[in-house]
Amino acid sequence: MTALSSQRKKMIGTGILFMLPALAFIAFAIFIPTIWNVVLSFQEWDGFLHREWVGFHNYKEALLEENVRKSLFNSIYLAVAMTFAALVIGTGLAGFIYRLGRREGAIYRLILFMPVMLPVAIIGLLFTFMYNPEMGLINQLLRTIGLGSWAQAWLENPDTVLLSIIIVGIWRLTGLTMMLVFAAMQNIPVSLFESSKLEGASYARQFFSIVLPLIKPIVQLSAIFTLVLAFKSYDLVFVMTEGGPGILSRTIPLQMIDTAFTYSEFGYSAAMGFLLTIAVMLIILITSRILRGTSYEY
Amino acid sequence: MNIRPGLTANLAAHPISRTVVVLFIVLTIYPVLFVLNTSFKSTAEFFVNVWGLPKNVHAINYPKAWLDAHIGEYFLNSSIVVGISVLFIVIFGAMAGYALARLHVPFASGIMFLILSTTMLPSESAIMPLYIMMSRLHMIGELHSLIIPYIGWGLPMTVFIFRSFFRTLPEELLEAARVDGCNETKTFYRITVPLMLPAIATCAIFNFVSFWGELLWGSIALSTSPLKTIPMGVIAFKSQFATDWGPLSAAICLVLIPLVAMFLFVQKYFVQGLTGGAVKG
Amino acid sequence: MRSFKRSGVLGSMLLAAILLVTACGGKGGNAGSAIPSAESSAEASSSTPAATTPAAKKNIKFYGKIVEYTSGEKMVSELQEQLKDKYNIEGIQVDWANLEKIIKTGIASNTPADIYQFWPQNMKTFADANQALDLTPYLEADNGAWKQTFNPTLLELGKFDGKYIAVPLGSNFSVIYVNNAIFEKAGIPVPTKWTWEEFIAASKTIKEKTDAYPFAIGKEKDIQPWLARNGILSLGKSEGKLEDLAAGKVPGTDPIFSKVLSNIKALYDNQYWYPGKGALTVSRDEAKSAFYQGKVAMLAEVSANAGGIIADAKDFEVSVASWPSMGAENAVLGGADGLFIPANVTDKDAAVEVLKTYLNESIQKIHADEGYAAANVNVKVSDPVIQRIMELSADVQAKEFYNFGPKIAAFFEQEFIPNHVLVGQSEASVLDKLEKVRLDTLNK
Repeated sequence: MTALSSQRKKMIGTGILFMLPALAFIAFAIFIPTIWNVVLSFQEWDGFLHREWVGFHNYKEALLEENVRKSLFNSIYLAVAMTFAALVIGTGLAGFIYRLGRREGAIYRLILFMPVMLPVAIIGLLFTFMYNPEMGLINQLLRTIGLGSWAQAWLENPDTVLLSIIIVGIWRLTGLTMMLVFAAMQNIPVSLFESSKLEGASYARQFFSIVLPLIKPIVQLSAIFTLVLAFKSYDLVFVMTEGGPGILSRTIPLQMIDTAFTYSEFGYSAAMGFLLTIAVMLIILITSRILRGTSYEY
Repeated sequence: MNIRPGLTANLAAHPISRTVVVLFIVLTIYPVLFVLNTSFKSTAEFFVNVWGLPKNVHAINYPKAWLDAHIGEYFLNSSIVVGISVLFIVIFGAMAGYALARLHVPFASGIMFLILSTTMLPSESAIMPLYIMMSRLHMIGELHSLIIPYIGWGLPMTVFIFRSFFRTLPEELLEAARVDGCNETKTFYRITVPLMLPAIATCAIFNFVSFWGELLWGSIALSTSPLKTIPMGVIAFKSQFATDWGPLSAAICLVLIPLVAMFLFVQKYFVQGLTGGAVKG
Repeated sequence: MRSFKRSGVLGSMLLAAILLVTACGGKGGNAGSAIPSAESSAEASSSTPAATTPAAKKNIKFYGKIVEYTSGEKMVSELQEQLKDKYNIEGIQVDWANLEKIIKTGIASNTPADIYQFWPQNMKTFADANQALDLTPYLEADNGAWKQTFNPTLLELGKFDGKYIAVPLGSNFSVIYVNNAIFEKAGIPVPTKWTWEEFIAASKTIKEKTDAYPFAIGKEKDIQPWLARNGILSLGKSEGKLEDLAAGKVPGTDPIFSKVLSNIKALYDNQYWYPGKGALTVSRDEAKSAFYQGKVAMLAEVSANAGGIIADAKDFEVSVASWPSMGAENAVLGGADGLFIPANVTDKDAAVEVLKTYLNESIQKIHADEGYAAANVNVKVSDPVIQRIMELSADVQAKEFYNFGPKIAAFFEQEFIPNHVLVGQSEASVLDKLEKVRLDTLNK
């Protein structure tokens, strides 16, 4: 008995020791700024000398202001749509690539991962020109194959602007989910594949009955990882539409930057940030419930 | 432990698999080709000929990009900053992830959620407090003003990734090692880590890519310093009212090379970690 | 035991890495004096100015090197040369994308640069927070010696609440670049100064007689609002309401705004605006690209880009025309590149001296010789195109309603045009909202 508990104590001791460096850095670079922001969200600060406490005023104003509500909605819509699609496509691609040889697979993985490596500025250039109603590739293509009536002003039409951004987001995020799922698949013993093949299972069957359940924790991880990234995407939206036309594609990060650095209302900006954080936390909790799976031991 | 590096599951590649993948490749690679294409045009030509091949190959964009964006000079800074950051993110992240997954730390899920929730705040709101803190500590303007925040920012997700991967590790394996007399740290280094090569490789790549191109914090922390990292070199081509797309594309292509190299290098660690037989049943 | 050794190794690696990084502090890219280590530079800019030795040179951080101007590097080198006995001036390249954030974090953390580039006409946020040093005493000293070196219109841009808080470097304002070939094809003479009606008539002819789009303007928030802003200015000038507009005293329901809005809607509905549907979200680069490809007859752009645009338009000739005036008199928004000194710099007099030197005649002559419209009146420009542009600057109006408050600016950038033209809100409801924003700003 004593031997076990002292070993367990040692385990916990080592565990805490192992966590310390990480916690230290996280506390410094993230936790402290977060607390600072929480405090700030209850104040009004112009970035220089004028600072005063205003209680929940910022939060009230944020929920009442139409621009903020629209930004919040957009942020959520964009993030969830991008993540869901990127997750499904990425998982599928990982499944397909798993079957390829090492060299070939590596090249394909590289190409699929390249969108993550490109700086946002050039992505913005490319896609704004691509979506251009007159000389853009997409409309030109549609016209050549005779679907000219489908050609439109993708970034101006209120019905298509968010979708256009989502597509770019998916293009960018799929590489990430693919890599994560692929890495997870490496931990599945080959023997499982071999034995099920002997029983006559096709690869598709293997994928759905063996692979997916075993990598469920990683799929959950990918979902959350991608969600958080998608919620923070200030760069991408800014470079494609600057939040336009009007406020149709405004997201919270964009709104926050303007509020803080252009209107010098740092407290209000912090409050907005928290509303988004709360929304994100809720969505993540929901996602982890949906994708909850027991971790299989094998 | 039976680990055969170099063995990825080589299930026969089905023609459908290949076709689907190739389709996506084509869709995905087009933008990369676009950047390459543009890098060989002068900006003036780009505006007139957006999509086609360059009529006059303007290869001078490359030496211009190298010089004007100070790529050579900033390369060392970027390498130091990102290299050190990624190294420590992976080390500390793996340790913390392991602790939360298998070392029975009390309130592990709660701690994980707390760490995770800190990442949800948009990074722009961290800039002001971080800047004020670091300038009081006289750290602004030096490379470690980048490294320390980068480590802090890369850790939460890395810890989360490692924790998830470690939870797929069979408990019996670790028990066996403990019974054999390994203490915790030894178990970690000699058993767990080698099985986690794909996860380590993935975290290394993700963090490397995200910090290699990090621009916002870098340009603010180093704004008044002679030290710069590569993404800041790019501002050489952004003027107040216009951007010089030709040389900028060339600069981007040059900067992609180390990323591509790193990615390919790391691919060899994507190996099957477990084979049947390591654990019975 | 091995595990402790490993942790020890890790720990010392971390320590070594941090030491290495600190020691490596010298690798860098910018011209100017090298900063030996973090400590001394932090002390130099944040501690009290008393130098330890009488001959010690002060360190000045000059955040105003504009690299895209061919004169940029030269001016900074000349500045360093002229003041080399007194100051170590570090010329830092301006990062346009992050400029506002860099300035605000610098000021908020009490370690600002000594001089920052910023546009005088946009200084309101700094004015309201008292973040900029009041330069009026320095300008008016010696019977206004320094003040008289500046172009008065441009200098007024930096005046807020009766105080000058920024000084201009060179002028910049909105113009229209004309594709001469298309105008010739349509049989219209190339205009120099014209009214909105003439502009619309020309657009109609161009649309009928050629297959080019008459007009293009980028969507970015620093350019698309020109349509509204210039319209308001011109109508305001014709009705003598400029002062009231700038002070926010004209209600949103005034017919000026309604006329501006309907003019813009007509421009869009008649498809005079490239590329018809999608005109509101066409980027600056796309507009420029279409212009160079000969698909657009008139491009709205800044005067400072004149050299570049004329050179890059290889297939046709380009002229510069004034902005068409919606009212009987012409007035355009204008601005300047400019510089200001943060209120919490360590040594105010030193900063002012450096600023004065930078804007003096000899250095500004470099600027003008390279073909830029410098703000220093004692400097003459030889390039005829630039001279022509400088003539147009006579119509520049310093004070506008747009700058009355940041929420007003945001309204014009984000909602004024799209809400009516795109979403279909009625003129009345858009103007009502404008009025609401105006009152909010007034009552703040």
